[in-house]
Amino acid sequence: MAQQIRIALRNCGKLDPEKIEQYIAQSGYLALEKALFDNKPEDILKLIIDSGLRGRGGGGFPTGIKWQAAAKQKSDEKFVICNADEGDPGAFMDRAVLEGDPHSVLEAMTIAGYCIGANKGIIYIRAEYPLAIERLNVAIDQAYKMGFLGKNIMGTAFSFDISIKLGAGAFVCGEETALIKSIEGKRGEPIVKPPFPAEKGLWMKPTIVNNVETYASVCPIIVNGLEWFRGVGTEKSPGTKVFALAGKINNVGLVEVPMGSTLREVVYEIGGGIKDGKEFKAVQTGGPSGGCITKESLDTPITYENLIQIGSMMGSGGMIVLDEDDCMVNIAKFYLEFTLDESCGKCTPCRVGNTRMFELLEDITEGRGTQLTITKLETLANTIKKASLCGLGQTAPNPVLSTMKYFKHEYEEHINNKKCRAKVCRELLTFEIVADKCVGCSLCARNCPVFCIHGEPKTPFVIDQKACIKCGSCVEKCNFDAITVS
Amino acid sequence: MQIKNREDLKKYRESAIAGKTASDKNIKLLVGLGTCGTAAGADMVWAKLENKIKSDKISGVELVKVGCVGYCYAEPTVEVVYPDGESVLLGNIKEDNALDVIELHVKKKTNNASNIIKTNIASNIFKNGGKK
Amino acid sequence: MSRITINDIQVEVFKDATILDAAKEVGIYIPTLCHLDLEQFNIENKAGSCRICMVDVDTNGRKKMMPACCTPVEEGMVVKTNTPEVVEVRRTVLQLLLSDHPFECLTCPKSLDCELQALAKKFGIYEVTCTGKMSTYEIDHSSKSIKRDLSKCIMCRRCETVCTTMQTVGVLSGFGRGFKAVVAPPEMEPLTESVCVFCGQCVNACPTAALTEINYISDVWKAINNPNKKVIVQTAPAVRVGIGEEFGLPAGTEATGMLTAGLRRLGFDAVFDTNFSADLTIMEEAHELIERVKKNENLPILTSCCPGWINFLEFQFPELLNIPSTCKSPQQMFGAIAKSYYAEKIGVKPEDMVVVSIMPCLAKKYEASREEFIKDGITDVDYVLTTRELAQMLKEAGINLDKLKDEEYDNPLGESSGAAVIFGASGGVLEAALRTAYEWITKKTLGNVNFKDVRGMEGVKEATVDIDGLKVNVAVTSGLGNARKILTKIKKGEANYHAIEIMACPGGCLNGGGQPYIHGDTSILDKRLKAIYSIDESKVIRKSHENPYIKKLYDEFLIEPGSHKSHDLLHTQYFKKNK
Repeated sequence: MAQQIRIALRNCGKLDPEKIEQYIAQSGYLALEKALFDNKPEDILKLIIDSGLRGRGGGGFPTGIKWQAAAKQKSDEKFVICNADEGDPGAFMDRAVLEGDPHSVLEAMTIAGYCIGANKGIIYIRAEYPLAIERLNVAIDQAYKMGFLGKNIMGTAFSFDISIKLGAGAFVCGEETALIKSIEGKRGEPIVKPPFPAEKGLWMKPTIVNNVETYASVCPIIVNGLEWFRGVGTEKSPGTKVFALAGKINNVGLVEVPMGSTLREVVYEIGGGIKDGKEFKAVQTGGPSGGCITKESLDTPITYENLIQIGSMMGSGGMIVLDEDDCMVNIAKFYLEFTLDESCGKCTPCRVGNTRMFELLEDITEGRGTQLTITKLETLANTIKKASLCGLGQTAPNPVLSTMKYFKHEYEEHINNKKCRAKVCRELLTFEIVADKCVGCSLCARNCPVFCIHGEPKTPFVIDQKACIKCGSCVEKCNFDAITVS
Repeated sequence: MQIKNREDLKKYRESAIAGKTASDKNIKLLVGLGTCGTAAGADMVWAKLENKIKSDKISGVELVKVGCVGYCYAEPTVEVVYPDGESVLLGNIKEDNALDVIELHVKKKTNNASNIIKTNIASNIFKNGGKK
Repeated sequence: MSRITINDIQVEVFKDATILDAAKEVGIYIPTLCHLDLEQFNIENKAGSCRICMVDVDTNGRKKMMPACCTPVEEGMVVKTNTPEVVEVRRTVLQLLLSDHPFECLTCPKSLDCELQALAKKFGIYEVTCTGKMSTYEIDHSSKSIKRDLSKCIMCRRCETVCTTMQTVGVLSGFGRGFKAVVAPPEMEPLTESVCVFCGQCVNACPTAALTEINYISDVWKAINNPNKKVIVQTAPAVRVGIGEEFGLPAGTEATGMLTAGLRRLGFDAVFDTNFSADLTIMEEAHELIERVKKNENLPILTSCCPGWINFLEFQFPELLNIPSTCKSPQQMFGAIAKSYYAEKIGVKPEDMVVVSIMPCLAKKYEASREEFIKDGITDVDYVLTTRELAQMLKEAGINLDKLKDEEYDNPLGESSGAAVIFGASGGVLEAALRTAYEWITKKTLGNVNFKDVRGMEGVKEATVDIDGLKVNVAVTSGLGNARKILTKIKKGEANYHAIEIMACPGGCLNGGGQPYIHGDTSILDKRLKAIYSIDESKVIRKSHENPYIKKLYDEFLIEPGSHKSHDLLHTQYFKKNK
């Protein structure tokens, strides 16, 4: 039986987040102590690089390499930013960490500052997380009072401040350059890289941006050593990853498992399997930037590389489980709609291209799709991936591409047979009255909003297919199960 | 207290650990009071437990506010940790069955209650392996 | 220096050069749209938003498509600018832009002057294949100057860069998200409710017709066709060095004679010159300067010819309202004199006279409508057309300006000195004022009239002029961002100037918001500048106070600079503006 292993969530649910003494009793601030008193910044940097820790927020960029790039820069000022602008639909592991163990993030940011030579940290957190903000504020206060933050931390020469900056919950502000613009008080939209933030970031100074879960994984590495950390997970993706299980799964919630666990372990052993005994169809990972993983890949170890290989990505760790009642075209449309709402509108491919893709998907789900629709989708997806300015746009077509790859038959059914097997796309449904079962009570006809059901009382009624708007109210009203949907 | 050097921290940590060891002698009720727990009514559960402990003068029991444990499908959750280190994680604790926690899991150890999600969750990460 | 390879050609460029710079170096064309490099003014729009300039880049094995306009070169980079894949991506991006752009080229004011249209032609796009919903917005024609049609906005951000970075006015910026994102004033308010100064630099920067001028051509036609009206026209200094471009003449063609001839063909009853009133402005302003320098009070004096800058002052520096010269601008002085002195002379009632101005400027349209310039229902100036609108009118009338024989201005309001024409370039007003002030103060003839220190395109120019021992410190600044720096200094009491010339548009009126579009080619401005000074050089009379018709105007009508009548007709005041 697969087990959870909790590194980032080690203290969540175990201690009172507002009591620093409980954190300290659980090895809290031990990593900072080791860093400041026993190590030079470059030692810690080397440890983080060697540990193989990779960014937990999306692309999986090696954390140590990012820190090293900023450490190399000569500058009078540098910044350590914590990206707590968690916005993937269904993902909330960062909130859990901040609400359950805020000191772990403060401690790691301070260590990062020590490594790269920064004295300022900023936590960019969405305003929709009031409790996390409150607990962070309490933790920051405590850390200042006790001398874990501020001038001359624990009597050393190192000083570090942390402040909180509230974001308005724009998904694109999770993109590091957009996040930096937002902190600067400008419109939160991404800018062209290079230069990368590690060279020219906040206020054009070297800046590292990592997400909450990444920071939460740092201190245990320093306390327990890299052998211990590399002992968990896989060679290229050491450690653990927190996933937010959602959708048609029994145990909806947060799980932290070693990298390299299989989807089967996560879904069936930890997640308790599919709800109501339905059939597993796919798991969407990586949120609106990711793709779907099918039954065939249930035993693929979950690593950054493997997920990209099968057309998805790790993302921030949202896992939406889909069953036979989910229409994959509709799922693709759902994610694209999310991207549309969250696009900043700066670059053409994302602003217009994704809108056009969405419209093409609408054509398919509403019965207007043709083979040309598919061709157009492919052309657009290709351009949007290559030409969009930031990660949001570049990955936006992924859900469409991935569903088109693995569920081509569903697309074809929608286009050629005008059928939606999951019975989700209303425009493609046919409502029919089974003459044998209909008693002619006329209840359906009386409830039809467009009066398209006709018949004589006590004889079977008939639905006028041309007039039917597929609202489904007849099915709900019928007491005799006499209306079929296909 | 202000930590001015390594010695200070050492002393503080020792006292923090001593405090923890002392409190570990109590039966601890860890109530998940993250956003999700609170939304599901965990603060009501907390109040109910707090009142009961006070009114019945139950000693050796300590309520602890903790963050999210991750069992969203079973919020609110209460984990009962016994002085011997054993524990049960209880799910779907609502206002109406909150006092069962005291009756079934504080006053006695019931290991087969229907709302037990898990028993003896490994609380120390450092003991675990997990090589894939 | 970095060495890179573009389409198998090796090129060595400066370290912070972009791929686009490097490509230009070796003559490789990469299409651009959002990119705008106003090199002269150190302003570059590098939004990287349109994605038309995508190229294939291989940086030490890392392969990615990158936007050429804003990707810095890296040693060893291998760039391909025209692979089938790159072309395909660019075409698709262009298709996308076109799919959300109104298909109204035939009736669009920017037709044949539109950069998006030009690209569509270049890419051979004859059908928009990816159609869908289109953005629709209400057109903002709240102002007298600038029309905003956001359905044509392509989010290139050029207007934002000039409005916010160059002019520091900050009205235009990104608004809304996703498909609905546009560049607009805060909360999409109409321009008249913003702090817009109507300099029109945004209009010059806009590659499409999202920002254009408010057009008054039909009103002018109507006036010309009205037999009961005496319709006279004045032409600003910078118009004559710009209008030729609209008729295929090389940039920098001095077209004064053709312009005069063309205006006469259009049917104006008299063709006059704003240069005449520029000379008049100098008479009044030099007088004011000398008074203020003599008393050593209320210094520095600031020029007041530019309505864009006056707007900027009224919005942003209300505490400095007392320092600009009280002189009306030459445009307004012309109108005031035309409807009094000239009207009287020819026996036409002011209400039967229509004054039309041809201006390189959009703020002039607004200026003409200011309440202070309307007296007893009579406005100094009735209609203001830009250089571009005049060209439009001429074309409409079938007049090929480039084919016309030179003609002279009418009198008495058509004669001007060389000091007047240089009003069209940054530094010109001050230089003209110095020429006159020098002679008035010293009572001596000024031998060398060229004050070269204040000429040219630089944003801030400073000089100390020795007027018979009196050291006069002057500064010349153009572009409102530069003006802000100077004004801030004055506000803090850190400036030690006697006189300052400020123009809202970088380089002065020759780069005004109403001039022919330069599409980012600032070398055109250099040519216009050269033409302006060559007109000055060619004039026999190069000092305003030597203009015989100006002398006559004072003798017959105004008496002397600063007289009661002058004050009544030629001076004005300024008001604090609240957003």
